[in-house]
Amino acid sequence: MIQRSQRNCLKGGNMGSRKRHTWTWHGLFLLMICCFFIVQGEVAAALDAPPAWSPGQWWVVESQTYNTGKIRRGDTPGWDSKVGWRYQVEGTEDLEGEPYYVVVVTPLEGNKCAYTFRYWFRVSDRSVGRREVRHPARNPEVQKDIGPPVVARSFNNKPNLLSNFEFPALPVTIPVFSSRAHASSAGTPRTLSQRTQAATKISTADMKGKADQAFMAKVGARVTPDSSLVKISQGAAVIENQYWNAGLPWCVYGEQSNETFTSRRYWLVDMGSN
Amino acid sequence: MKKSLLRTMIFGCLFVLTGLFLSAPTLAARVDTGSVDGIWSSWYWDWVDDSDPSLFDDGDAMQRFDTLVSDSTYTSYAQWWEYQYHGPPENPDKWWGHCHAWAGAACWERQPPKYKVVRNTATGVKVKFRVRDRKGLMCEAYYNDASGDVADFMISQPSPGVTWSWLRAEIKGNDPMWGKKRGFVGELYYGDEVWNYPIYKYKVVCEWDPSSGYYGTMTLWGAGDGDPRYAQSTELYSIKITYQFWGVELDNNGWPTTHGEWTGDGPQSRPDAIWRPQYPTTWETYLGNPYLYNDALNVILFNKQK
Repeated sequence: MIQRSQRNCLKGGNMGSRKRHTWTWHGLFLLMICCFFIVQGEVAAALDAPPAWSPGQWWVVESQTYNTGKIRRGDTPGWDSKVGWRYQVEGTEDLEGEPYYVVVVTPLEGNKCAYTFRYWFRVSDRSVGRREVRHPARNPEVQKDIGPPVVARSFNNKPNLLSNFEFPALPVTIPVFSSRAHASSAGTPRTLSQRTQAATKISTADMKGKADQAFMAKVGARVTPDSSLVKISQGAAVIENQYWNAGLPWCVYGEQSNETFTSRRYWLVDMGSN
Repeated sequence: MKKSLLRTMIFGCLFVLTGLFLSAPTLAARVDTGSVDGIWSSWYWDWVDDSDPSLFDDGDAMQRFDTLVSDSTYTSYAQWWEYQYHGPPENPDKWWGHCHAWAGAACWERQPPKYKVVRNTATGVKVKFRVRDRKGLMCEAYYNDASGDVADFMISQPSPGVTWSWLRAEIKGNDPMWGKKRGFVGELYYGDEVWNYPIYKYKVVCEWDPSSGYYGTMTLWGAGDGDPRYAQSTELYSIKITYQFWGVELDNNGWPTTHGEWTGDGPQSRPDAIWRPQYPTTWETYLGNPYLYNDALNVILFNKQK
């Protein structure tokens, strides 16, 4: 480019000057493109590395669902009580030749959910490949048969419309930790099953502002300067905003919204290792 | 030779155009249906006291329960509690009742098929629980089932595409959460009032519009709860609502890929919510009236199956 520019200069005259200007604009344009991708790269970098998980590691998330007041007569709109979930990395397993973390999710005391869950998160990027629900037996002499005691659904790492809505109090949405997936999926999803995500670097103070304060006090040393706000859009109508810190295993705060209201919010409140 | 070639070309073009016309989705009305068994009707057990039966009426479910479980050392006040907190002192509107509880129960529980006489072995007291009493107690046991933290799913103001997806998954059984098809609840009054029904059948009839997607009608059948006689009956009485929609696209397997829009306004222009409680492990999981309890309900609601 420099050589050509120089050659044009040597020709002299107005024409050469105009071309110099043209090449200057081209250069500026290219510079802007480069800057854009550098910035994108920085944003994506926040999600390049998945959170560090290992077998035996556990964490606790408290969640709340919003009661619209429109299903039971006399209810007033507002947040339901918080319920607790314990996530524990059970180990790793291969699905179709790729390693996955198997995470067991159990309801904690006070949580009326009678089910326990296992989720398979791909080791490389944490895509969800499978989920399994285990449920206690019913009394068949009184109640309808519920079917097999364990029900599994495979996602093959593709978003599933129905899974966006099942078990609304259980927050298992997680970003795909891959800069390639990130770069190819920004924007607004055009179909019900499509999922997009976009990450923005945020300050540690902004992340802490959303976090459970007691938990922050407990794990202060684990917090790194690398915090991100990840916006995950699922099927255009469901948006999950999550605040992540690279030193912690799960988002410190998240909320799910649809077009009209925030339907769920959740906090990371404890963590440890067996 | 030239004429025959021209004729061949004209007929050939007509043949191709006819084929294209017939194969275009514009004329292909699409029909999608599904249904599940086992959903049952009930009365919605209103809170006002001007239409029988009510759960708190003398001679009805709660008084019979009190009679069965009370003895010289314990007095049950289920009837009193029901009247105080699910009855006239709450100054209810006419439409207030137990529809959400019954709708959840109808998805998960068997309908009581007939009366049952239960004897308290300690007191010797025998009480007959009619179908209406057993249905009423079951509904009260589901009173707190309508909450996001105990829901299989709960979607407020679902789009046509989302509603159709859940109908296909659960009622048609194409991708059911529990491995087999099952009914779910539709809150089908789009407005301030709340009208829940257990949905057991649907039919979508639609045509393709190349500019916006499929448009047509979505008809839902739910068990009914609008007549006091449904309390004692074991027949299935239906309600049927037909919605109009447009703009839904489908994938090759018939699953909606876009939301689309409902047409029209008014209380029956679209569903207000679709949802289903998680199944309760005991009768106390969602219990409303605190004087009811699991051991007694197990005996009263027990259905001996062949």
